[in-house]
Amino acid sequence: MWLIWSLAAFVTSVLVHAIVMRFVERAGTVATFVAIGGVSGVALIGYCLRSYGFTPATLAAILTYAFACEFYIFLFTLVGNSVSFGLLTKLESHPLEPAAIAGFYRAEAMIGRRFEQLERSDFISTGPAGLTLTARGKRAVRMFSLLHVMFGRPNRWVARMVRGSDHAS
Amino acid sequence: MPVLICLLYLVLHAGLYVLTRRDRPALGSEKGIFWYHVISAAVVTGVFAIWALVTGGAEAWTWFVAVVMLHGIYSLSFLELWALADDSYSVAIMEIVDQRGTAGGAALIQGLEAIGMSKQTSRLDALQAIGLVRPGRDGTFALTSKGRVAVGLGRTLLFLANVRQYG
Repeated sequence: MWLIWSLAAFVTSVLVHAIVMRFVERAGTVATFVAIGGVSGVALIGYCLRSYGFTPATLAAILTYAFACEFYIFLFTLVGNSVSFGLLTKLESHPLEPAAIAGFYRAEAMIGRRFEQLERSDFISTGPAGLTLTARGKRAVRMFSLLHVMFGRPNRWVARMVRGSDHAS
Repeated sequence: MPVLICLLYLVLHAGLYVLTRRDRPALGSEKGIFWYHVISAAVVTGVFAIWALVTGGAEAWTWFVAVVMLHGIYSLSFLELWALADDSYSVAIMEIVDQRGTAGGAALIQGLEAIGMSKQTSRLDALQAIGLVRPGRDGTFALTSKGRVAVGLGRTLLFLANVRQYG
């Protein structure tokens, strides 16, 4: 029974998110889902604690719900930001030549969209002097510096750009 | 108790990667790190399934689900952070802006465009490798039936989340 409540809470979160996203302009997709999912999660915890007490059933219900929510966020952010998915949709209507694919999917448009996302999420700001990191952006970069050390991997695109600059100079 | 044992195992699994495994070339690729987690998930699932079978009863299987979900949350979080640190275009933009201070120069845009082009080329190759796209005899690229299913599923997700711009 706990599994049904867990799945019901997840489906409710997805549906409420789908409705809210159609009415609230400029709402962050992930932040909105986290807020809605958080409220549903708290309701699920309350219900399970009242019904089952602090038992394995309550813990399993919470973990199942949390995993479903994380997986859903992972999927829609993956598809929404995926270069691959963008290419697949271009190929959906008819086959394309490599040159046409490149023409349809220009790198400038991709950069423009990333800048827009980063600016909307308050990670960068554009001023007369150019691009600057906001305080939030600086915190994110610090966090990723730690992750680079932890995982033993620099960002491959930054590394490639640095190598390119070195070759140019 | 099984959840605590699983938590301890996950701390060891992450610690082992950070302390010793990360410098191994086999784990330096997306495939390598993915298998590091798949094998771990398979082992945990197998061990706790045997434990639930031996112990018997509904409570044992409830613990089993809790443990599998816990591993799922851990692996998904780990792999997402790993992929973002390794390959994220947005993170790359922020790090380049951070390194160069106020960066509005043409060189930055040029560098980013080069990244964009190489991402597109490498992704097209990857889509062919997993059978979503196939090259035709006339040199064009087309979706396979698997590719059409993937587009349909992706569109459903984007419709639900109301994501109108993508790629």
